[in-house]
Amino acid sequence: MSADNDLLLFQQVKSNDFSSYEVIFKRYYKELYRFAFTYVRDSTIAEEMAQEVFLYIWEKRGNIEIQTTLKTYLYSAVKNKCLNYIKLELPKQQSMADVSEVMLSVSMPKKDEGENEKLKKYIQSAIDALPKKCRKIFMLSRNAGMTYEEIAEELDLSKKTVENQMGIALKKLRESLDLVYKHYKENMN
Amino acid sequence: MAKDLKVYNHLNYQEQLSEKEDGFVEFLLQHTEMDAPEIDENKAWEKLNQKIHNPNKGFVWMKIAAAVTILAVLSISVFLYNPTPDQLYIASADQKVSVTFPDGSVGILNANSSFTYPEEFGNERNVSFQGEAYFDIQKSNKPFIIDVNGVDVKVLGTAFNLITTEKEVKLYVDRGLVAFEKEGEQTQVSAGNEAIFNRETAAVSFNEIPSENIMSWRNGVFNFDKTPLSKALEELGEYYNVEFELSNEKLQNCRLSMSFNKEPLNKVLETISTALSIKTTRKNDTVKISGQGC
Repeated sequence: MSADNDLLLFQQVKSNDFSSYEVIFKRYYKELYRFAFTYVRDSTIAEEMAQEVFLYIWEKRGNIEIQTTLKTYLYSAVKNKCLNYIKLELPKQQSMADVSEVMLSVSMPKKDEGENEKLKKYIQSAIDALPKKCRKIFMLSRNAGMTYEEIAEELDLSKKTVENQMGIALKKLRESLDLVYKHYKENMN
Repeated sequence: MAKDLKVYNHLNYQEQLSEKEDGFVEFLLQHTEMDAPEIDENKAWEKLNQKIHNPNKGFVWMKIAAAVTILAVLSISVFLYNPTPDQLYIASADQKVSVTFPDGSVGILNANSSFTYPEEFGNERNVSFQGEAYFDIQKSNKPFIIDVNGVDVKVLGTAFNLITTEKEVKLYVDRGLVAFEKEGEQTQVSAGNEAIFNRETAAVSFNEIPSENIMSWRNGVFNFDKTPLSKALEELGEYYNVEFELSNEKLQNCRLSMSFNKEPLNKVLETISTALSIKTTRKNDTVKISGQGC
């Protein structure tokens, strides 16, 4: 599993060896998926991010020159994919997400789910229903663990704007989760 | 690496969000999905292979929201807000909601369903939809297209019932002709028929004798003919917005043969109790059924 071995494998991929490609996939797919999940917090999307990176390295194998290690290359590719997803794709999907998430949240009871799971999903629905800009910033902060400065730079906004948007996000979440939170607190006491 | 990041996230998130601390932020944190669910690597590999070898064949699904549930305490009846300036979003929680679209077509949302549509229709009449609804569409040469998470239902001036779930899209045509459309391929469904689109296999199957009471949620007319009690209760529960609890497994074996036409729930319960010699106890939204069973 050494870095040398990785680069050797990748050399073979570059000369069209599909079985070496499979070895790389099996070695890194799961951890890259988990890494993507820390950004997008959605298993389907996280898989998609990891898949896209693997698809890319096969399709562009001829042109990819790895300067560092294969592992570093893959991780930074996944990170970029995820940040782009949060910045560009997520806002596009929002109107759909609103509809499906919020509604499904009311509609399809799943019996084997614990109370905690329900709460998690309900909170996620509320996050998904935040206004686009707000949600993007909230996700970069919460998921990607970026500071206000980093987010401001990434999105080309002022730090003040980022702070305001985070304030709005929290206010809206408080509003939409009001009943859920009250109920939760009652049950805790 | 991922683990370190998680810890960092927590601290960062908490620090940034902590205003006046009443436990809300803590609550959000405790219920944030932190661990990625396990996935099947072999399936992922197969999928990737498919993308590599058949680049255009893959069906790009919109992320299908996982089945989720909500606490019973919530009884918000109608949400109405604008996802984008010109899009209207209408959702029903525990009541039916009738919506008139910009062209005069009508959609009736069953509970827990929603529409998203523009304030003005352009050359096409596009509506996104989740859940269950009945549509009565105005005739026009502009196609009326309902987007059901990536599957289009194209309407040719007609009335029908549509149910969408994570696994399938069920279409029951009341009047006229409706078509499922996917990648240009059309499957037409005529009045009196039910077609089911399976999301996984992308296959359309037909159900010649659809459930007797498929439209009941809208009109309150139920016809049961030796219908298993549990199925009948499920249908009644949906219309009357109550949950039934059977106290005894043997009750599941009972069968109902009777009709109802918009009777109040108490009357319905009384009729069922007499017919099956059972006892029904209603408390808020729950009806307990006890008896010896069949």
